[in-house]
Amino acid sequence: MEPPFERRSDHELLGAAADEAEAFAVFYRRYERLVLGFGMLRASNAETAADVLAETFAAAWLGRDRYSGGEAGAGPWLLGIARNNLRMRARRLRVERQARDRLGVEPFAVAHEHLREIEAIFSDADAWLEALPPLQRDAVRAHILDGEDYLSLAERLGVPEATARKRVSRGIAGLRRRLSHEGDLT
Amino acid sequence: MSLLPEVEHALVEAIARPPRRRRTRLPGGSGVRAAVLACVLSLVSATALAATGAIGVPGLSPAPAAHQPLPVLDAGHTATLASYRGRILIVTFYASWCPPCIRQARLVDEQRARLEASGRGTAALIGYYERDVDARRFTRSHRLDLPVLQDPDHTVADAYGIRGIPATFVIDAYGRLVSSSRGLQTGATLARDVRKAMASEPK
Repeated sequence: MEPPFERRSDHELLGAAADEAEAFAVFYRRYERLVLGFGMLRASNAETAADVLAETFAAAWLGRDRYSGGEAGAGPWLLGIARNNLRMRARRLRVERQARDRLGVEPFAVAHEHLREIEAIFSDADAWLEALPPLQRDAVRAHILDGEDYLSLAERLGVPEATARKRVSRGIAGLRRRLSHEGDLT
Repeated sequence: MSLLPEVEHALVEAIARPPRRRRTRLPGGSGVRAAVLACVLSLVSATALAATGAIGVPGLSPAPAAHQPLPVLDAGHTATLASYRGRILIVTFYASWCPPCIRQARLVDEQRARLEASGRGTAALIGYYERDVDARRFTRSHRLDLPVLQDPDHTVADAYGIRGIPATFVIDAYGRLVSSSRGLQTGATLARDVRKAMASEPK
């Protein structure tokens, strides 16, 4: 008998999602806070963080076959999607605004109640990053927040690429553990 | 007056299109040109107004992709958003793997029940890259009484600029987009959007 979804690895969940969407829902819950925390760390803005969350998981659903697994789990992969999403965001919003202005369509509204929840829970995201062991914190900051690739990070730190990857993945795992215990999200 | 949907669609699209930069030269002097333009404009606006009821209403635009046929899950037919004209319509783009979509679908289903009881409107879900089997399981396991419109080519999702879900739109009885909301709403915000759609109807 297959173990319940909650006990399966990220790779197994994404594989099972081909047949059962519930597997991806478990994956979503596993990483929801990490992605929101990332959005708050990068943008300090709950509305942007909420968009990044929704768009990252939509993109992850569509690209789930591209996840190749690995002991680091899906955190670095997901945050890579989130980072790309944020990088394209300014340009995309500008194009969208022009299209909406042309058609006279109002911009999307976001429920402020949920934004306040996100702000309340994730306002200390910076402190959580600071609380990581320094080597992991610096690696997460460089790779996840600043977008430095693994090879360049490894060269700059004078360590093998595998070590740089391990620091990032451990840092993300630590951040996710911390974030999973903070407040209730609706 | 009822126009063929294709004609109506073409008119709405033509009016929504931005003005061309290059000016079209009409024969005759400026008086003739003005008269021809006035005739064309009045004909087009009158036809479009009759067709959509949307043109000329400040702040409200025709709902996009209103004539795209969407298969209705397990119903054996298709529907278009335009086929709901005459009633308020709430549509939510969702996927069954998205936990906030469950909450949003419940809110929408509550509003659907109220709208249908009053005879003023209804609601539907539109699957975002959603398989039939997942859509069936989603509505059954969450006891939702909402039809699911499938968007297999993502035409409607693209027309509404969907990149994340849930996203909810309220369309008034005249096919005008009254509100666009992304993410999970509260019951109060959705009810407010529905009231806005009710207020936009002619007295």
